[in-house]
Amino acid sequence: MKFKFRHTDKIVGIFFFSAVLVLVLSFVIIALSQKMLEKKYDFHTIFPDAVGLSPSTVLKFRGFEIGKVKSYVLNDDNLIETEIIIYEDYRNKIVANSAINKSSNPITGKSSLEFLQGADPEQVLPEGSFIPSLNMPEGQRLLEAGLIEKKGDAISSILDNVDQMLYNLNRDENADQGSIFRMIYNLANASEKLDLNMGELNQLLVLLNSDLKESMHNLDLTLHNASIMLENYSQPEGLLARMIDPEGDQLLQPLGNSLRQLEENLGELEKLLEFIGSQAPEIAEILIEGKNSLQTAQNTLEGINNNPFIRGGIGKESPLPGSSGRTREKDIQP
Amino acid sequence: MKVIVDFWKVLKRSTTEIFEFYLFALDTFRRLLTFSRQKQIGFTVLLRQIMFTGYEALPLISFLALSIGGLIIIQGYNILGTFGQGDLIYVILVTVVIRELSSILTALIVIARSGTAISTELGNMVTNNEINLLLSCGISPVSYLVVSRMVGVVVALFTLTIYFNLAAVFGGWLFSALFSPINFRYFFSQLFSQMTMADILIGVLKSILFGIGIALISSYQGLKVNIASTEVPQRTIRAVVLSIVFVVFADIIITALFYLI
Repeated sequence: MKFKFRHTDKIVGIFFFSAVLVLVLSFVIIALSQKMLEKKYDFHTIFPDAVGLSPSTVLKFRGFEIGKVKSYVLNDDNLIETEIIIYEDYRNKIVANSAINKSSNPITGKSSLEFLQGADPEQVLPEGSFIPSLNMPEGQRLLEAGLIEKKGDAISSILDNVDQMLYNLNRDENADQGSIFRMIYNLANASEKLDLNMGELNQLLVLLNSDLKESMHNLDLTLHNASIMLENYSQPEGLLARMIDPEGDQLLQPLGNSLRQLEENLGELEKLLEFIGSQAPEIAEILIEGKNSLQTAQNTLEGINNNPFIRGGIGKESPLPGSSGRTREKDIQP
Repeated sequence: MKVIVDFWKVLKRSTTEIFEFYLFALDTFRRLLTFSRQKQIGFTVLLRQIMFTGYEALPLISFLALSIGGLIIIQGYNILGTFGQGDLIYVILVTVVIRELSSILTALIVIARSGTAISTELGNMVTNNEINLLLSCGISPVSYLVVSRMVGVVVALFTLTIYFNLAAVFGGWLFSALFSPINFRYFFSQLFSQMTMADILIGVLKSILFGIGIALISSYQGLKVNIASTEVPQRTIRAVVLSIVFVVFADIIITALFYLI
């Protein structure tokens, strides 16, 4: 006979009673973990609404579960009368001037209850006492009187503050009613104006940039010519130069010194122009004049450099790129 | 006109069958009350039924529960953990596995293994005139065969449901430890804090109700075989289909009642 058939009663007995044992153990563990066997003390509170509240919502004090909601009903004043049970271990935490704060989690929609202990830990409240809620005027008075300190998590605190601010701003008797919309309207106007100004500023900067580039190019050419001239004067070969200043100390050297000084000054002028260019849009006109002066100076220096008595006269002027400041007009010419 | 006549015949046959099934169930419950007095008749059948339906199905049930528990924990932790709601896995385990899946999956396996076996066995007994033999000896086939089978299936289903929960939760934790280890103590303290006695009792209540339904439907379909052995597979298929329909509807009704109450 097979083992299973010989010992059917034993196998079935073990199979069945092991399952019953597991079931009983589960009940015991649930009862212990949910403190079902402990003595509990009843208290009650009132909330303005039952949003997120359930009969098993836990009451926490400094992160510890000290009790939970037993039941709640809507009373004649349209407020939520809530029965709360407190576990035996935390019975003496329920002291006078304590309060309960109900805050809702915006993600899960569930409410959490936090117990805020009163200042005097000796005045233990009797069973069945009323514990005010922070969501009601009684609790707010305790908070304002400094008898309890409200501590919530960061998100809840921010949301509570925002909620309170919005409530205050929207109250009928509030003089600042509608101020949020006014602020938003003004902000929109300011933003629009700023946008327009930014457009104008952008156009000005484009123009200024173009003029600066042109001026810098002219300056560069001028300095280049001055450099050539200085080199020429350092080794004069012209007839007039040899005639009037054979040693080079009467005319050419002072002229050379003057031109070096001029070069230095032009360098300073370049820096100055860069600085001015970054400072104010009004100098665009000055820069255009400066550009013309530099053009003249360049011509003069080149004239001196190429003087028939000294060199070969004034050369043909080469058109400068962007000197007219209207590149687009040139581009569209046939 | 013929359609109406056919429809009327089908309706009449179905109504008669429902009424007959009702009387059969009533007779079974009546004889169940006297089962303890005549247990020497059906006790061995009862033990063997529990052995076959319960003990022998344990490996399959454990494997299924282990896989489902492990998958729920792993997938749930990965998905819920990404938005900081990893602790909701315990709520899902309690709601999905303990309250719903344990009883319904166990019932489906029992239908597949034992429901078919009961229907086939009783059908063959009818065709072999064994039922007539029992009657001629003054033994009620309902007392001897049906009541013991019903009690056996109920006890087996109830026991298997508890083992399913155990394997799904404990085995699921073991399985998940391979991929994303969760502290044993933390896991079980969180699980038991989310679980209520009602969650377990609902699972147990469902398993008892499913067991009664499966045993009665399968036995009734088996005993409805008349003469031919070709009727046996037809009745077996009918037993399976009706048992599955019963389990699903009963589950919906119990769950709805739980949320309404």
